Amino acid sequence: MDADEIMLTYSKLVILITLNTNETDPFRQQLIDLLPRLRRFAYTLTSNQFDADDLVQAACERALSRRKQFTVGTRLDSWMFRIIHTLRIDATRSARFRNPHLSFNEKYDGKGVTAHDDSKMVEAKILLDNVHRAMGQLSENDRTILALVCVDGMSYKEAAETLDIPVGTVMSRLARARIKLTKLVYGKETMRTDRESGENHG
Amino acid sequence: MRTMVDLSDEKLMAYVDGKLTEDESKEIREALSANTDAQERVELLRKSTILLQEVYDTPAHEEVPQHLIEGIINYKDEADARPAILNRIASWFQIQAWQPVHALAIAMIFMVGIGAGWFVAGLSRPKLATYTPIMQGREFSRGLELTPSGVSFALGGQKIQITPVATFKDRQGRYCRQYEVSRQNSGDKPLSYGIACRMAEEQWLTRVSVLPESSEQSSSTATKNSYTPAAEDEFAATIFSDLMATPPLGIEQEQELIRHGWSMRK
Repeated sequence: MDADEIMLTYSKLVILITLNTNETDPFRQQLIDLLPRLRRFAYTLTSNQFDADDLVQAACERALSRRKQFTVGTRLDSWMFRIIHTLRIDATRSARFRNPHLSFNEKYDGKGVTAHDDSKMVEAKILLDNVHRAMGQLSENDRTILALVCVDGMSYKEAAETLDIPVGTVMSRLARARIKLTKLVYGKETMRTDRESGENHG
Repeated sequence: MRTMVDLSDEKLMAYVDGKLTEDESKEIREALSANTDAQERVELLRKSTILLQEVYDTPAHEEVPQHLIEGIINYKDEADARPAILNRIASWFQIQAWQPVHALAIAMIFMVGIGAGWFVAGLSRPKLATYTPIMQGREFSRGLELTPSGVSFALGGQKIQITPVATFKDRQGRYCRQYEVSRQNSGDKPLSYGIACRMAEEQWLTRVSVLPESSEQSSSTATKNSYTPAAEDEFAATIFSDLMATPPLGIEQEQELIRHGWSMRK
C-alpha cells in the first residue's frame, strides 16, 4: 500500500472536517454589520420599507450562496450594493420589486424630517411623498448612483468602482439625476421653499 | 481677458460637494455671481442631497429587523452544507457541532481503523461497529479475485456477504474494486461499502470504507441504515475519484481479467 497516498487521502479528510466547523463566520458577521447601510440603500431604491427589506434579504441570500465569488480583500459593501442593484435590474423583468409603493410609508412618515406641529408634519409627509414620487420617475441607474453618493456618502470614485463604470460617467449621470430630482420634487419652473412646495402638491 | 470658466453640471456638482481646490472654488464663485442659470443649478444640486438624506437616511439609524439577521445566521447553502457523510459520522459520534479536535480524533480513528482492520473503533457504538469491519483477509481477497461484479460471495465466519459492484484501475495501475458489505440472506441494505485494491496475487486490501447513511441517533442497530450510492455522496465521491484513474471496466473486460488471473493479455 502506498502510505503517502493514504496520508494524502486522510489529510484531505481532516481539511474537509475542519472546514465544516461551526465557529464564527466572519463573512456572515460582516454582512450583519452592513445591514443598516444595505437597508438604507435598498430603501433609497424602492422608497418602500417592506420592499427594501425583501430586497436586502434576497441580496444576502444571493451573497451567501455565491460567497466563493467574493474576492477577499475587496470591499464587501460595494459587492453587496452591486448585488442589490443587479437584483433590481433583474426585477424589472419580474414583478417582485417593481412599482414601488408611492403611498406614505407608515413607519418612516415624517421621521427623517423635523416636524414640530401638525402642519409641519403634513408638510413633511408631502415632501416625503414628493421625493418618493420623483425617485420613481428616475431610472434605476440614476437611483443607484444617487443612493451611493448622496445617501451612502461614497465618493464619485468609489461609486464608479462599485458600478464598474468610469468616474466621468458617474459624475455626468449624478449631476443630471440630482438636478432632475430636485426639479421634480419642487416643480419644474422655479425653486420654492418646502412650505410652498407642500402647498403646491397638497 | 479671463478664460471661460467651466460651469457644466458636473463642475458645479463638484463645487457643491466640496471636491474642488480652493482656487477652483473661488473661480466658480466669481463666475456664478453673473450667471443666474448656474446659480439655480447649484441650488438644485445642493438641495438634492439634503432631500435625499432627509427622506432616506432613517433605516441606517434604526434597529435592524431580527428576521434579516437571523436569515443571515441561519442561511444554509448546498455548497456550504457539510457533506452528508460527515453528518452521518457526526450523528454516529453524537457530535452536535464540529470542532477541530473532533476532526483530529476522527482522522486518527480512521487511520487506526484502517490499520486494525476496522473502519472505526466504534467505541461509542459497538453494535454498529460489529457490522462495519474493514474487509480484508484471505477469504475476502479470494472472493474479490474470483467474483464478477453483481455477484455476492460469503464471508462465512462473519455471516456477511460481499458484492463487488465495479472494477477500475488506480493511478498506480492496480486494479481496484468497489464493493458492498451486507448481512447474509437478510435482504437488508448494505452495512458499508468500500474500495479494495489488488496489491499482489490474491491479496486485496481495502483502501476506503464508508458507512452508509446512519439512522437517527436513537437507533440502536444497523438494520435501519439506508444505503446511499457512492455517487450521491460528495465526500465519498471525492475519495473514490481520487483512487479511480480509469472509468469502471465493462463486465466483459472484468470477466476476462478474472479468467486470466488479473493480467491483461492483449
